[in-house]
Amino acid sequence: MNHKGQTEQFNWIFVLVAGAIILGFFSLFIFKYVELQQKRFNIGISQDLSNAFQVLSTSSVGSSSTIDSSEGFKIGSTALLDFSCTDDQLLLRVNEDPDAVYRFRDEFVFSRSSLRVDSLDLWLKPWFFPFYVGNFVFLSDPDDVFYFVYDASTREEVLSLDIPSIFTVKTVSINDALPERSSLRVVYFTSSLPRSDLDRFSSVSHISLSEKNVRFYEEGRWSDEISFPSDAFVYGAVFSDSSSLFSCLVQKSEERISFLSKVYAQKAHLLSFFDRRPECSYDLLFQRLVSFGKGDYDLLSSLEGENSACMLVF
Amino acid sequence: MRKGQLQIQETILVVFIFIVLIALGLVFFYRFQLQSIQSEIQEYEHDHLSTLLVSLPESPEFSCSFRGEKGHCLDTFKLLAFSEVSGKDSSFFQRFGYMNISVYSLYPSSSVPCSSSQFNSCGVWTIYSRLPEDKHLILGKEVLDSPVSLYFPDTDSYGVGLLVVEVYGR
Repeated sequence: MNHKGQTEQFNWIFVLVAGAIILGFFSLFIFKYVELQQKRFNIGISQDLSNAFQVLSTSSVGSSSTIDSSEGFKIGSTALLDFSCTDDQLLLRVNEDPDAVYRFRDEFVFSRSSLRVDSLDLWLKPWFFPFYVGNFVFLSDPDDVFYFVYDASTREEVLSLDIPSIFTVKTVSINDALPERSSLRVVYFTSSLPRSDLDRFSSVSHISLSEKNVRFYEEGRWSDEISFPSDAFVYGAVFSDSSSLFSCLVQKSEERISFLSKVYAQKAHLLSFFDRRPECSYDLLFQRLVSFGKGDYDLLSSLEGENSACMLVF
Repeated sequence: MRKGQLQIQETILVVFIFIVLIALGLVFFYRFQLQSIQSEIQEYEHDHLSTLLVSLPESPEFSCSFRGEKGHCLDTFKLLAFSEVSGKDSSFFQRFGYMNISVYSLYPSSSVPCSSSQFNSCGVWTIYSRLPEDKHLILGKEVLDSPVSLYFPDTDSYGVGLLVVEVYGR
């Protein structure tokens, strides 16, 4: 009788242990499966975004539109988009997944360094310097509100900034008080650097239109000045909130200008074999394009003049 | 005692068979997932190629322009200039990988390859060409093409061409 009871007991113990092992195995499988599906989802988003950015960066259309999950990128649900610059390479990571990373090539995408969105406001602006270099893509969270702060010396220039109406932009004087909301993105166009009470805003930057440089307020202090080559970067500075990202994009733009200048210089050299009119100085244009590509951007207006003289180089 | 032992053995056998069935199910599920992922990879690579085909003619390296305004054509002199300038730049391998990108002139028709010594009356521009060093590693090739408008700056005239992109799979 005792043996029979013990046998029954051992049987139950065995069943319970085996059942726990099987249950544990199934639970592990389910967790791993969910992890895999999440990873596929993240990679899918990064692939869709990468294709979209590649097409947008060279699209002929310069327009503003609201891209949301029902029309454009089809994100499907709220996703965390992290932009970063590592080893001079601009990266986009989705949902902090190390496998869902897109490495930008020739795209110029200006955005906050981190966006948690299910829809995106987007604006394309072609950039000419003096030839077509590419499209600037500006991204923003639809809930972002921009405040442009001007003083007496910058009022006219700030009011003439042309930002599409899909973005919520309010222009105020330095003497006006800013709302207490913490989700504001404040851009100062003032002569002097603002100092007080900036931590309450979600992002703060200071743009000097006359000197073409920008500073970002990060971790309680102002970053170093970052110079930019063209007025088009003013809009880039408005949409950015990180000095490292903005520096990265300025550097990419300079590399792009350098390469395109070489292509146009080579084209000028080829044209010189066909157009031998004495008034056409392709050799001079060649030299100027080479210097321009090396960073001598003061040659910008002379390049435009030289281009219109004979067979068009660009 | 024997009856008890028999019962335990029976239970062990049942559990063992149950585990074997689950393991088989998991193996089949794993193979199905792997195939599904491989098919998604192929789909992604095809999408990437299609995107390249759409964006290449609009790139400032190749597109024609008139006083800064971008045109909807390929500048044949820029095609040649790009192939000469990019040959010295290794970063394009990161952008394009193992592929051939060529433009063929259909009208006016010419099968003469273009180069810095032959850029007049030629009709084949090899913009980018990179093959894997070991040809045995090539598993397949996908080819996409698209008609394009060509602009000839020397004669200020237009033609019709074909942009061909060949991608090698490894």
